[in-house]
Parts: sequence; structure tokens; C-alpha cells
Amino acid sequence: MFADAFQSPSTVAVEYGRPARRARGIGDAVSADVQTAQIFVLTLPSPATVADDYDVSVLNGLVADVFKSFDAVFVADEGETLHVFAIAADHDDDAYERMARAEDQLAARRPGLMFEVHLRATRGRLPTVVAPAGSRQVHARR
Amino acid sequence: MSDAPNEWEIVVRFYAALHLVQAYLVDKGLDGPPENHGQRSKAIRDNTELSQGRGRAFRTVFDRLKSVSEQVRYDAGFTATTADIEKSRTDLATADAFIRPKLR
Repeated sequence: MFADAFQSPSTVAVEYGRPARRARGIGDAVSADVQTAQIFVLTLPSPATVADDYDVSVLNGLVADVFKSFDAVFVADEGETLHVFAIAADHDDDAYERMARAEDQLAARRPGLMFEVHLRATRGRLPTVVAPAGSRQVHARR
Repeated sequence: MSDAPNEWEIVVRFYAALHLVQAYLVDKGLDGPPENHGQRSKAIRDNTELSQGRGRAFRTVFDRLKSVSEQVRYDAGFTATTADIEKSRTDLATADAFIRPKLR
């Protein structure tokens, strides 16, 4: 009975977004066998989580692309606002001109995105030292 | 924030510039003035007078006042130099000269 249960696709236990506590879809008739057996449960992210992750990934790629003239770029979320930290050697006019161009490009390519750009100067330090705690790096110039 | 003398000047100058921008945006009759930095950045970006042509120089000085003042406050390893403080003085003067004549 235990083997029969596992021949049917309906007995494949899949839970979305969280570890499964027990298999589902297995009839009561085999429950005793199942409860004593070790069950391998496939845990997948939910479709919504996949979509969110995909969107974040695409957005990170877009930010990295439009700010690629900077030494490094970090992002952080705060409510509905995406904070973009563009890392440059110093606070000179050229860096701010590049920042304005990149900001305009991002706004054009993602209308409706609420974001705020900050320029952080390294002045000889590593970009990772200058980036705010909790931000994630989306670009590093090689 | 470090013990560098007058470092707070940069922060004060940024907020002086911010209030100039806010006054300008209110004068222009936006549907509710910006309530945070993100909304204000968008308002500046969307306003041709503030972001294109001569406005481009204004945008540079405003963005620099904002970013340097943030780094003074939030980046413990950053120390404003005398040049930064002097630059904040000229940046605010540039912002003031650009915005004030446009206010009613």
C-alpha cells in the first residue's frame, strides 16, 4: 500500500513558500504507513515569490546598467522608495552630471518607480565601506 | 559626525536649499508639495526649469548639498574638508541665485 501510494502523482507533496510539515494528498488508508516513513517533500517558492524575485532581479540589472559609469552601486528598499547609492571617488561636478543622466534614464525606463539617488564619495576607501549597512550591491566596475 | 569644525554648516545649507526648492514647487502650484526626499527628487526631475538648461547647474549643486550633508551625518568614516564647507557655501549661493528670482 505504501508503494502504491507513491506511484500516483497525487501523492507528490509540494508546498509553496514554506517547508512542508507533512505530505498531503495521501489517502487516509495509507496514513499509518506514511506517518512512519520518511517523506521527502519538494519545497518550491510560491509563484508570487518567483515573480517578485524576478522583478527585483530585473530592476537590479536595470539600475546596474544605467549607473554603470560609477565605481559601484548599492540599493536599499525603504517602503515604496528604492534608494540608489552611486559610489564615486569624490563629490565633483562630473559625478553629479553622470548621476543626473543616470537618474533621468532610470525614470524614463521605469515610469512610476519611486526612487532616490544618493552619491557617496569613497575618498580612498573601499566602496563596500562607504555603502550603507543593509544595502545590497548591484554593480561593481571591474 | 566627526569633530571637524563647522561640518554642520553643510547640513544647514542643504536644508536652506531644500526650503528654497519647496517654496518654488509650492509657488508652481503642485498638487501637494513633496513630503519626502524621493518625492522632491521626482518633482525636480520632472520640472524642466529645475533640471534642464540652466537648471542643470542648479540640480548639480542641490544634489551635492544633499549627498554631502547625508555623508556628513551618516558615514562615520567621512570627514568634511575645508573645501567641502566652502563648496557648500558657493553651492547654496548658486541655488539661491537661481531659485529666489523665480519666487512670487
